[in-house]
Amino acid sequence: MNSALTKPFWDGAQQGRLVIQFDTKSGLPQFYPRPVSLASGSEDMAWREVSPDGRIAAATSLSGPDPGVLAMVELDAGVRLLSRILGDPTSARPGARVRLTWLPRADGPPMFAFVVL
Amino acid sequence: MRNILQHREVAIAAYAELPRVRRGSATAIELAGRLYSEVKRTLPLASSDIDGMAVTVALSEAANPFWSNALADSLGLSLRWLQLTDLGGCSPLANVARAAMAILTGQCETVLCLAVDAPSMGNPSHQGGYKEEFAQPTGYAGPVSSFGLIGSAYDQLHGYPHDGLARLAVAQRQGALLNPLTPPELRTPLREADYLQSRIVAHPLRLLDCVMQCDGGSALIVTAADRARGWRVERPVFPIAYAELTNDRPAEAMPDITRTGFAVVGPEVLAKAGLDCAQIGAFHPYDDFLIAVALQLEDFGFCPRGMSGRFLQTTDIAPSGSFTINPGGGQVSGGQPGLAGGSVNLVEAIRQLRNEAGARQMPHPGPALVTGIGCIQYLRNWGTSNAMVMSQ
Repeated sequence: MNSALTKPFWDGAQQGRLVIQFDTKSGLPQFYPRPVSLASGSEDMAWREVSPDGRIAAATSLSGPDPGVLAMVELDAGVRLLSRILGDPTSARPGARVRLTWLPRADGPPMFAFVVL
Repeated sequence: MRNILQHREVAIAAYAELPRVRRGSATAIELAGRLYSEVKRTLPLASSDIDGMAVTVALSEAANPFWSNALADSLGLSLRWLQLTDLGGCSPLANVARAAMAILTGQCETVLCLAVDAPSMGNPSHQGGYKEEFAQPTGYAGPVSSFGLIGSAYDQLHGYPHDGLARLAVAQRQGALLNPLTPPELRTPLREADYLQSRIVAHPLRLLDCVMQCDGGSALIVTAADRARGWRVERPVFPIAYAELTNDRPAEAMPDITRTGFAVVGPEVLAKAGLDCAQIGAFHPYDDFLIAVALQLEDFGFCPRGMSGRFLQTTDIAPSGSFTINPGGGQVSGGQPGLAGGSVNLVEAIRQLRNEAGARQMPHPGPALVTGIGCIQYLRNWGTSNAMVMSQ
């Protein structure tokens, strides 16, 4: 499922590092990985490790077989990630500070989730 | 920006729409056949008069890379111009605009605009990309999760407008009860308390914030106004302005997700029509989720940002009211026929403008403002916003 485009992200995940794309000239970060920089439209991009810390900007609930909290997390690095929030759902509120953690998967590289700090 | 529709040279000459059914037994091709035969019956029209067709993607046929051609072949049409539009809920409205462009530039003369889908017969669609890699592993449940996050963002800024949306849910249901095309599952009266007590499906969204998917569709005949007159069409409907935007501020990494493409499309389509909000006779906003209607009211400027809840509570929005919203029930109370969903409110606008809406007929249905919402983006709102003003 993972292509050459997203390989640096998943390689980072294997090492427990959060690695995202940056526009080389402007230094603007972006997520999810795109084939070009959203800032410039060029392929001139670099991958860099960023802090796993951020805050919940919006949160909703998942019903169904695997209930939980799904959130829009704003990383301190300046991008947003769609992620599940682990732990007590009552503390997974907008505004809460969170940190990324990696969850092993049987069928691929680790997937990220966040825990409330 | 130029408005190619301002001279009323293109008309919607006829329409047909199917009853919406939750579990159908007909394929999208069969539905297309019924619609084509019905829409043709209303005009002195031979098959050879139709030389253009614009169709929408169907979930139930999403594995077919030759869908528009399959439809043309099934219906026995010989076409100079054939268009498949994949703008999701924007597609039916976009196809009227594209048909007008094709007619005005001489590509063809008469266009069949067809929107059909039968998702209950199967849905082989597969989006891949970020959805597969970065959304599905989180438990993301599709549009309901995205609108849950939009609702949460709105809740933090202004408070989720539960009471206003309850009123909207009730008003749309009143229209749906007067609409013979409403599926049986939605033919029950609704009180505000029913909305407010329905179960949470994606906080802060409740079950009655959301559409029910169904099978159905519509067909329109779009042609040059002169030709419609020649056919003695009694009540042609004229598209008089159109605007469309895919991606609002894509370079911003963390935009306000409660601001949508309608902040651009709304003022643009009204300016093209030479109208302001107060002059709109009926509002037919795309309603996959009720909060989407609230965001559109604000982005168009019907009310200030954050005030849509109060607007919905203090305005008579019922089918008989002073500012009617989705008089036929919309999709939330009328069902969403898959990717043909954008045609539900479009056809209701046409029906109202032709004074053919029966028990829910509005006294002043024009000018009508119809919108579409298409595709869901990663942690934003929707990909495409479009809007059309139509008049008698």
